[in-house]
Amino acid sequence: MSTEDTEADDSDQSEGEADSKRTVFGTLVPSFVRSSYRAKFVLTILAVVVVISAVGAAGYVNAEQTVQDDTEQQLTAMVDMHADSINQWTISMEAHTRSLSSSPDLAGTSQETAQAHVIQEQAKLPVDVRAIHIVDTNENQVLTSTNLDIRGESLGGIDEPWTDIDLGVDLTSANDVWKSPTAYNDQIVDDQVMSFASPIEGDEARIAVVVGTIEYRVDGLRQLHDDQETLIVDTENRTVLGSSELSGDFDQGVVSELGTRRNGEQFTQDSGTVTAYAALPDNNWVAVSTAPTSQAFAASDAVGLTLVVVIAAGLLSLLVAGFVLARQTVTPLRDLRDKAEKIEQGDRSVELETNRVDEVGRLYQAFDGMRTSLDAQITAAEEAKSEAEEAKEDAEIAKEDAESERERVSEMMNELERVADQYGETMRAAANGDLTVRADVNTDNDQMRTIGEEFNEMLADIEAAVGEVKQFAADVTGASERVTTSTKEVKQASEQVSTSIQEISVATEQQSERLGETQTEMSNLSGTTEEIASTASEVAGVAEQTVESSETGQEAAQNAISEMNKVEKESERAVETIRSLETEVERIDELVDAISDVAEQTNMLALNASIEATRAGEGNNADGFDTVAQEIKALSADAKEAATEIEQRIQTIRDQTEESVQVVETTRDRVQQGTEAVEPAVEALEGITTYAEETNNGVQEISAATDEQAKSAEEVVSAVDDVAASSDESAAEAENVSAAAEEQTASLTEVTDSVASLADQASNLSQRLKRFETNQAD
Amino acid sequence: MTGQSRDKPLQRRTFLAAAGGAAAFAGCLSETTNSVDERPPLSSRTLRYGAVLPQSGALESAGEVLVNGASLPATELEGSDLSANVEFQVQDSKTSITGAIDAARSLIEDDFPAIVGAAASGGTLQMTQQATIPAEVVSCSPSATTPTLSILSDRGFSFRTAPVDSLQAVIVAQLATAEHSAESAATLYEQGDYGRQLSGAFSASFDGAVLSQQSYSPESESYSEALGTALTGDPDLLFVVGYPENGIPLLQTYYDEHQDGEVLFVSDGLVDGSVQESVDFHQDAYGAVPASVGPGQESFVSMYSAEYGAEPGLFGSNSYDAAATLLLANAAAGENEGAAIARQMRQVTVGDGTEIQPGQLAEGIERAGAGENIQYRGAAGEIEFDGSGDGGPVQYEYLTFTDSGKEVLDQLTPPEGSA
Repeated sequence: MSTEDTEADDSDQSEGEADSKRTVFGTLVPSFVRSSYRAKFVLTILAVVVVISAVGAAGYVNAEQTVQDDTEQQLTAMVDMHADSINQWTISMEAHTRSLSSSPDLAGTSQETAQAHVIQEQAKLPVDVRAIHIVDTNENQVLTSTNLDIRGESLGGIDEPWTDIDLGVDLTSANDVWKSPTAYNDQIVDDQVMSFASPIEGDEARIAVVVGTIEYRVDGLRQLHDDQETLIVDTENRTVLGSSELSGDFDQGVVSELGTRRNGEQFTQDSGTVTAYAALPDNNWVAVSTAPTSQAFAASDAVGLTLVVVIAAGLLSLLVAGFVLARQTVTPLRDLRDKAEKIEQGDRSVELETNRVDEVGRLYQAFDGMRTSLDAQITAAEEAKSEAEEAKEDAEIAKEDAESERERVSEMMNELERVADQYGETMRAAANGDLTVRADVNTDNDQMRTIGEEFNEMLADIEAAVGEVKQFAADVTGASERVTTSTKEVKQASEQVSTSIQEISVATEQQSERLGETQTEMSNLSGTTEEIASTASEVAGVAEQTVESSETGQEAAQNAISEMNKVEKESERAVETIRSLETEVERIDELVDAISDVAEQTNMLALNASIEATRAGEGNNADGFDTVAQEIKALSADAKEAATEIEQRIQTIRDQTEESVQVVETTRDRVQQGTEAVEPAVEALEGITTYAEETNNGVQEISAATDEQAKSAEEVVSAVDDVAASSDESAAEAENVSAAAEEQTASLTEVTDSVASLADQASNLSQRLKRFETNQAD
Repeated sequence: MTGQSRDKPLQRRTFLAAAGGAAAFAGCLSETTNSVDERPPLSSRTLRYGAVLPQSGALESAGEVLVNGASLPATELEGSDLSANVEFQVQDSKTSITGAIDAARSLIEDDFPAIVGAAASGGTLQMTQQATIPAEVVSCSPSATTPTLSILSDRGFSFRTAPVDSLQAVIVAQLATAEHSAESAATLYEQGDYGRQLSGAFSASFDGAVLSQQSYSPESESYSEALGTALTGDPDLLFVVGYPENGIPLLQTYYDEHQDGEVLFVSDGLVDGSVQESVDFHQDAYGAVPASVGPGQESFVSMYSAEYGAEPGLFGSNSYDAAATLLLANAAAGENEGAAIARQMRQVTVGDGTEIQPGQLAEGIERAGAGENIQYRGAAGEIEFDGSGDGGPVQYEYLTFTDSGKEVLDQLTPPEGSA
């Protein structure tokens, strides 16, 4: 660019010298370009823009292709990784199943042994193993399981793929491992699972089933894009693992081809989606992953956008730079050319100022210097010529002026004398007091006329001033008289105010006195009320004492009653005791009777014995027998005697007992009477208590009411105090106002005096001014 | 491009619309390792743990003690001046296997990195395999005693503070020869995992002839036939494994019809008040039961009683230990990530370090959070997790039955590696 600049400058500035160069240039470049620096400049910039755009476009295409290739590789590698991961998982699950089915603990063993074994085996296996079942195909039921819900269940009752295994068809050799055709949702553990089964070695009727969850494996697989989805399909177009809804359709042909070959991967792309395929090496499954194109190629789009932005920014800045440079060079060059042409036509006032200090600025300075020196030479020559002509004209004019001046001075001297005489006359008249005279200013002499006019104006001013003073003096006199009259009226009003206020003051003092009386009366009332209150309290005290006394009486009476009741009970018991004693005595009486009978009978026996003895007396032993009989008889007589005595004593006791009973019963009756007599007293005392309590309550209420009344009276007293205080204040205020009114009256009197003296002075002034004559009426 | 994104956290993408449970496994896909130097200050941390325990169903009443034990560490830390926050959540396993799996998945979905549970052996086996291990969430069962849990392919995520059943059988086998000079033995066990495992473990450890391993069905009308078969060949010792419901009639039949001078051992399932009331143990009846007496038992019991107003029941202390170790490991890991916590479980229970007992959890967490070594010594036992994640008590009581009840003869520990 700099080379072209130089060439363009050269062709403009050294037209004559570069003929050969121009010839070459001219054959290649159209004439309008050759003649315009601006056109050359624009063309150069455009050429650069075209080159940059071409290189940028190529870079854009190249970068986008590279990034897309990368994305494709990543997606393919990822789906391949998925395929490998799922493949490894199925291999490991198959290995677990095979190792489980070869355990001797499961062949022909009891349900219990088998159950213990599967629980332990599950514990040892990785956590992917969700459950282990042992199926007994003879019984068509689950022999045992790590899942206790289905232990012993019939296969028909379980809806899982492994219940449909046909032993002879699906599992032909002992090493064979069956697996569920697709992943399914296990209802028991609620996981995405696949089941694997193998016949138990040494027990043809049993199958070991291993249920494994694929979720941990799936969770570990990374997806590249937000809406990417991956699933596993088989060559029969069944979805082995994954949701049935892929965001885009995949090519079933590719799946069949890869699934059959069990090797390789592929990548396809249509308008909306990209799809990657990878075959699993150990079965006819293919991992398919789809993603929206917009997400898959998001990176390449971003790279492309960045490149476009970079190129656009470059071009834009180039254009801006070109425009600015053009303004900086082409415009000042054209301006200089125009001004040089003006100077050539003779306009030497052309402005050639600039702020720039670069080459263009220095060019302007050089042009300006050239214009200034040219202008200075031409101006100097013209000035010398005009100075010579002016000197000749001046000499002729000076001669004519000298003659006319001499005549004018002589006329002026005559006029001055006449006017001065006239002015002297007028001034004397004015000095004598006639302010109406005026000087005659009819003269050619300017100075004298001015003097006359000013004298006349002075006289007119004096005349006007004296007239105004006269008028003012008359006005003052009139006004003073009116003020005097008004002031007298104000004074009278003030005196009336003062009188009224004094009356108010007296009334207020009277009110204050009356309030004082009220206060005293209220204080008395309050005292009386308090006395009543204290009396009521005393009465209440007495009532309370009465209550207490009557309660004491009541208690004493109750005690008496209970004591009497006790005595009554005691006496009843005494009666009872005596009665029982009586019974006992009667029994003794009976015994005594019995003894008497026995004595009688004994006596009879003794008698009989005596008779027998008498009869036997004819025998040998008669004396002895008789002696015995006699003794018995004596004894019997004694007994009888004793019995009689006892009977007598008993009779005495009985009489005494009867007496005691009577005494006791009398006592009891009396006690009862006593009790009956006390009971009304108790009731009466209870009545007294109640009345006394009521009295007490009443008195308490009175006391409370009286207290309140006393309080209200005190409040009234304090209110009256407040009123009295404010009425005192009113009285004081009224006195203040009265004093103020008197002061006002005094001030007004002074004003009246001042106005009167002013009126006198105005009259004096008026008298003095009458000496002067004026044109105004008095 | 592939190379760059390998360092980025894997993100879930829609691979299969039908992938129902996929959301549950989000936790396992996020970034894991966090070096010790980057451990954040405790004050900025929230230690999170959940529990999958029965709150309804057959084990509801037993579950209450477990839930109390598991929530007690959270309560203890709330009352302390610990600078970190603690978040705890219980999910009901409904006493079923699917309930346990669902409960665990719900906790995993809420990003809990560690779970106390499950309670029963079957539920624990399936919960770990189907939920917690795939999601890389640490689980620690307080009460699953099945030996199968020891062989679980758990990638280091499954732990337990419950004793392992088979250890008991190993102890019995030792006692049979050492204390009773038995040269031959027979086992009679109730059908099921428990009986089979104990019988198998005994037979494997017994230093003598095992004449028979006979099982009986819980539905049997009579146990005479099973007893006759088991005692064929006149063994020196009979080991009966079962539960009270069927064990009582079986033992009664034994004493009535079959007793012939054998030494009788019963499993811990039969060391029960109801058995002692109903069966007249004539002579020579023994048992070996896990002794849940750790160094921190006393302070645990007093804390538990103060909080719940009752004595802790069966496995209550194991439940506390499970929650405590998960919290300490979380503090040591410095993040709520299952893998990091799993790596610290042995670190905070085995080896040298400041001893931490129940009641000192706040101090333990402050120390572990600051990178110090600590050693938790539990309520149920020493709680030292081995390579299989078993940290339950290994102390056993050797006892005999007398007229007045039972009498502890000795405290025993099985030899190393005998499980």
